[in-house]
Amino acid sequence: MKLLKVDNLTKRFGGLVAVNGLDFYIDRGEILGLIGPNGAGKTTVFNMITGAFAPSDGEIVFEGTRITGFKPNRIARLGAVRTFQLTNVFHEMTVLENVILGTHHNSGIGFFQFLHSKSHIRKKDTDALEKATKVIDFLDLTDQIDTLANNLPHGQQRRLEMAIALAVEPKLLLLDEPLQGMNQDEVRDMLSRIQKIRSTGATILLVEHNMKAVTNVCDRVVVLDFGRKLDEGAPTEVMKNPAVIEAYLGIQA
Amino acid sequence: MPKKIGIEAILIILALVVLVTMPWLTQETYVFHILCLIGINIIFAASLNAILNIGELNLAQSAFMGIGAYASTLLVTRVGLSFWFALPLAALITAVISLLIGLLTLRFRGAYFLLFTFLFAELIRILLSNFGISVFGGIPGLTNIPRPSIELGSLIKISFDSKIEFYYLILLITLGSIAILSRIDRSRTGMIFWAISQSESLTESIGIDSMKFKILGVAIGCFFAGVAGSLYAHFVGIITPTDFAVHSVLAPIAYVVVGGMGTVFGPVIGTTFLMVLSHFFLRELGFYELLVYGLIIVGIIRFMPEGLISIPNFIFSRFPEASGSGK
Repeated sequence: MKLLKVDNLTKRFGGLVAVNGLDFYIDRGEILGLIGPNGAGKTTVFNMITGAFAPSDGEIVFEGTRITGFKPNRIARLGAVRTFQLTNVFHEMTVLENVILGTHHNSGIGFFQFLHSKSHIRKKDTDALEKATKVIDFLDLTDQIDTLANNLPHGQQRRLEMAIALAVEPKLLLLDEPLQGMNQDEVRDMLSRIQKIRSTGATILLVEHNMKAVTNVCDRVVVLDFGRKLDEGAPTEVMKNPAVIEAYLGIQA
Repeated sequence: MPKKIGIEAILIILALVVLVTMPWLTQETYVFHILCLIGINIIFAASLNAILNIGELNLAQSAFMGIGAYASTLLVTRVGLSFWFALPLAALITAVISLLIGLLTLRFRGAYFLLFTFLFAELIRILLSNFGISVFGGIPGLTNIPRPSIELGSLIKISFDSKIEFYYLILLITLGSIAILSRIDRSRTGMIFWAISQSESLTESIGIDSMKFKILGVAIGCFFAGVAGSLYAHFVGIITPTDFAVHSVLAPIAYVVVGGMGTVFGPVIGTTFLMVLSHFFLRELGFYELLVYGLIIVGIIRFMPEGLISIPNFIFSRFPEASGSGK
């Protein structure tokens, strides 16, 4: 069953067409890779799905709801939760505080929470705490639970980002270049974690230009080039397509 | 950690004892006049800080204080309300106006927000100076603003005419305001304000409507600016548009920064420290007063960028053995 469906998605910045009539879908439980060389429009697609900006044309349907042009917080509340290309954590908060905030919208703590009595919040906070500790444990950050996010090494900060996103209990997890700026060991570690998240039944959209790394974890890939879909299919098949190789490596002599 | 909290509690109780017994320590009117102004400024600095908590500096904060002051005055003198209803109502009016302005300005961030609020502050000053002169009093402002009083039947009558009586009123309202702000700061809502100031994009991505919370943050901050404005009007007795012009927000910014931004007690400490310094100790310096005052502020910002509230950490990091534990 299709969790996300993108139809004729188009984004124009003035005269530049960054994304042009793109169609693709994500099935429940799969990892879809959105790949392509730099400047292909991957991040633009990602930003439109997550509500950072509205498409010029086309439709995005998530779980049967048309989410085109929704604000980011609303899309997140519906269950499509993103991470960021550049590390984005609440740097002056501890790991636990970071993840607890992720549980916020599912915690039943409302907008005028500060008017409620303390015991009322406490009870809901225990649920949030339990949920948060579970996610932190899942990403092996338990030892750092009281460390300020700012003081974590880069690899752990990226894991924390993922923990925050998982705390929201996403139906679809959208990862924006999670391997950016990582060394070989960190890449391997992150890929195994993505597979671990998938094994819990999550659906993942992975935007990445590191094609080799992606072939190992993705069920299916969509290749973008100059804002258009170049190819789509199993990673190993797509890698054999001369057009894809050309887009990545340039014209073969 | 529990040891440190103990020290804090002792310091707070000590400060409260001194504040409550003040009239037995001195009877000097000047002292109480300054203490009243310190209280009003603490509420104002805390309100400024409440908006800094969502990551924005509101240059129109003193304009909102002015809205509170004018609203409260007019409610008492024109509508005939008693001060006790006028104060919360004026604060509410201020909050509602800030809410409407917030809807407009909070789309802007950083320098743009600063510019917009700067313009709003000027707009309010010009409006109060030139429009509805029969109501707002024009440039000379409003005078003869009555002091509050309590009348219960014919037996009990407390008027807050003297500075000492007014001092207790301000003390009470200041403590109440700080208590409320501190409660909000420790709540989930306070945590979300803090989150927004660190990364609005991440706050949005976890399903939190940051705009809604930013507007709430601004409304809370401006509510207390309104409280400060109402108190100021009824304490001083005269208000003019220039009292609330953009320049009058600058000193409170220094109070917040010197005390410690983003903390509830930072503005309290900063306001008290700088105002006591300038009104009691630097007055004798005459011509050099502002020079020394400025140097002290620069010194604190240079050596304690997190403000006076970080003094314990500052000492312990220099002399780890003094903390007893050391690392």
